[in-house]
Amino acid sequence: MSKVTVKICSGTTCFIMGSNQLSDVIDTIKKTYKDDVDISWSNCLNQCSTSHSKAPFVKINDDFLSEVTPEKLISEIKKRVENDK
Amino acid sequence: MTNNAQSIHIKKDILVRIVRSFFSDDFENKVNAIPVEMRPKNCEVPYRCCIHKERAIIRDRAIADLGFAMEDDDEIKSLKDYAHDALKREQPDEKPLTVLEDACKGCVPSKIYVTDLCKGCVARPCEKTCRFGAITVKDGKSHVDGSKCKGCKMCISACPYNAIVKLAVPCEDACPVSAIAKNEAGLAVINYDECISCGKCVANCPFGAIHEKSHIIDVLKHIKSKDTKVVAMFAPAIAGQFPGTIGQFKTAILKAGFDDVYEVALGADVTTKTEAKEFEERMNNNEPFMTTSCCAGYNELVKKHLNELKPYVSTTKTPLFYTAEIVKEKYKDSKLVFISPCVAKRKEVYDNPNIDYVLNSEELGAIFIGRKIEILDCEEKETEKQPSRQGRNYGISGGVAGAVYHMVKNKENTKPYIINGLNKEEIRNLKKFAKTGSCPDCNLIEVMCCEGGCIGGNSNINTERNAKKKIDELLNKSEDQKTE
Repeated sequence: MSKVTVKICSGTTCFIMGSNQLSDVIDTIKKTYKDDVDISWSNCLNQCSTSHSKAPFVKINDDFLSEVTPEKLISEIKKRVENDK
Repeated sequence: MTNNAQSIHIKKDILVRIVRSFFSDDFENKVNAIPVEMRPKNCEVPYRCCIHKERAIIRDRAIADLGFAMEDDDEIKSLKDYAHDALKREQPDEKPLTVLEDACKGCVPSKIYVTDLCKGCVARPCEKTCRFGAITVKDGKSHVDGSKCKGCKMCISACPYNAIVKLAVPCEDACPVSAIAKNEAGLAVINYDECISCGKCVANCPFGAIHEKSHIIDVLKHIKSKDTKVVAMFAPAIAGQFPGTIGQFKTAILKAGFDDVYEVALGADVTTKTEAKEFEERMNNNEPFMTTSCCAGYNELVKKHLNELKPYVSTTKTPLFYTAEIVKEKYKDSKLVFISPCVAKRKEVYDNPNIDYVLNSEELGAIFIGRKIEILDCEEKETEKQPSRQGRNYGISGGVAGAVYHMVKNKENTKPYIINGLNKEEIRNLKKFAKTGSCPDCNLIEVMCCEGGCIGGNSNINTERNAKKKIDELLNKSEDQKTE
C-alpha cells in the first residue's frame, strides 16, 4: 500500500486565509493513520497566484485541494486511505 | 478569536480585494466592482437567500472596510463614492464599530420560550417559581407573557422536562455590559454611552454582522504617497499570528511599505517597571489591592461602569503609550500605526495624540496578501534593542501580573489574581472588591478583557493555542528583564 502524502500550505496567503486552523488536524491524522499518511507543513505551494479566494490550499499526493477546512481535509484523507486498502 | 470561520473568510477576501484595488490604477471603479466580482452572474449562492442579498452584504462589508458606518448609509451612495471619500478623509471616526443591517436581522428578539417538550404537568414548577406571574398554563401547555417576563430564567431551571429555553441573541448574550440590543425592527444597535469596545459582539455574531470600521485606506494612503514616514508598532499578541519568525515578520512589515517597525513589548518593559514601583508604593501605604491598567477594554469599563474601582486602578500608562513615546522621539512628524487584535485599542488610540491609526491582524494580513509578501521568504531583520521575555508575554493572560511579580522585590507579599476574560460575573466580582475595599487572598489583580488575553482578541488570525505556542517559542529565545 502506498503512503498518502499531505502538504499543508503555510505561505502567507494560505496561512492568513485559514490554513492555521488545520494545525490541530495534523496531530489527529498522525495519531489515527500513523505510517499510512505523511502530513506536514509546506512553504508556499504557488496556488494562490490565481485566486486568494480559494485559499487555503493543501496538496494531497499530486492533487490540490482548495478552500480547505478541517472537516474537508479529514474526509479527503479518509477517502484516500480507504481507497488504497 | 472567533469560530465563525466562513464569514471571516469572506471578510478577509474583501479586504484583500480592497488592498489590490488601492494599488491598481483605478481604485474607485475596482472597489465598486467587488460585490459583483465576488458573486458574478449565475454563480452559486452559498449562504443567503439570493445573489442580491450576498452582494448587498459584501457591499456593506466593503463600506466598513473603507472606514464608514453603515448606520449613515442611504443605500444610494455607490461604493465608488465611498472609495472616493475614504481617500479624502483626514481622521478616522471615534466609534470603532458598525452594524451591517443586511447581515443582521437573523435572530428573533431574545425571550423565554416554551417548546413542544412541555407536558403541561400537574406540578407546574414553572408557574410556581416565576416571581413575576408571567407564566400561566393554558390548554395543557405553559405560556410566557412577554410583557411580564423579566428574563430571569428561573422557569428554565425549574422545568423537569427541559422544555423551556431562552432564545439566544448571540451579540446581546456576549456583551458584558448590555450595550447592544435589538431594536423594534430586529436590528442590533450599539449604545456607545455603555459600549466598552471589547469586541465580543464582533466575535460572537454568527452572521459576522458587527464590523470594525477599518483604517486600512488611511494607512495605505500615507504609505503610497510617501508624504510622511509611517511607523508600525505591533502588540505582543501579534507575534503569534503569522507564519515565520519575528525577524521575518518585521521584514515583511517593512516590505509592506512601513518605514520602521517596533515591538510594543518594548513599552511593556517600561510599564512593568513603573507598575511594579507603583504597586510597592501602594502596598507600603497599606492599600488593599491594585489592578493593572493596560487592557483598553477594562479601562473603558472602569470609566463607564465601575467608577468606584478607579482609586484601585494603576495610574501607570499602557505599553502602547510608552512605545509611542519612544517612537515619537526618533520620528517626530511621522504617522504611527498600532497593529493589534483589539477593538478597544481603537478607542485608546483615538484618545492618544501620538498615535494615528490602528490595523488589526486581518487587515495587516490583507496587506501582505495584496502586496504579495511571502513572510517565509523574508530575511531576518535584526533589531538593536530587544524587549524582555516578560514584555513579550503581555498578550497572554497572566503575563502582565507575571511581569510585575518578576520585578517587585517583596515577592512574599505580592499575590496576583487573574481575571481571564470579562463577563457579567467577573464585573460583579470587581464591583464587590471596590465596594468592600478588599480582594480575598490577593493584592495584584490583572484584568484581561478577552479570554486567554490579547491572543483571544476578536480579529486574531491564529487560534489561541497556536498563538500561545508561537509566542512561547519566542519567549524561550528572549532574556529576562533586569530587576535592578
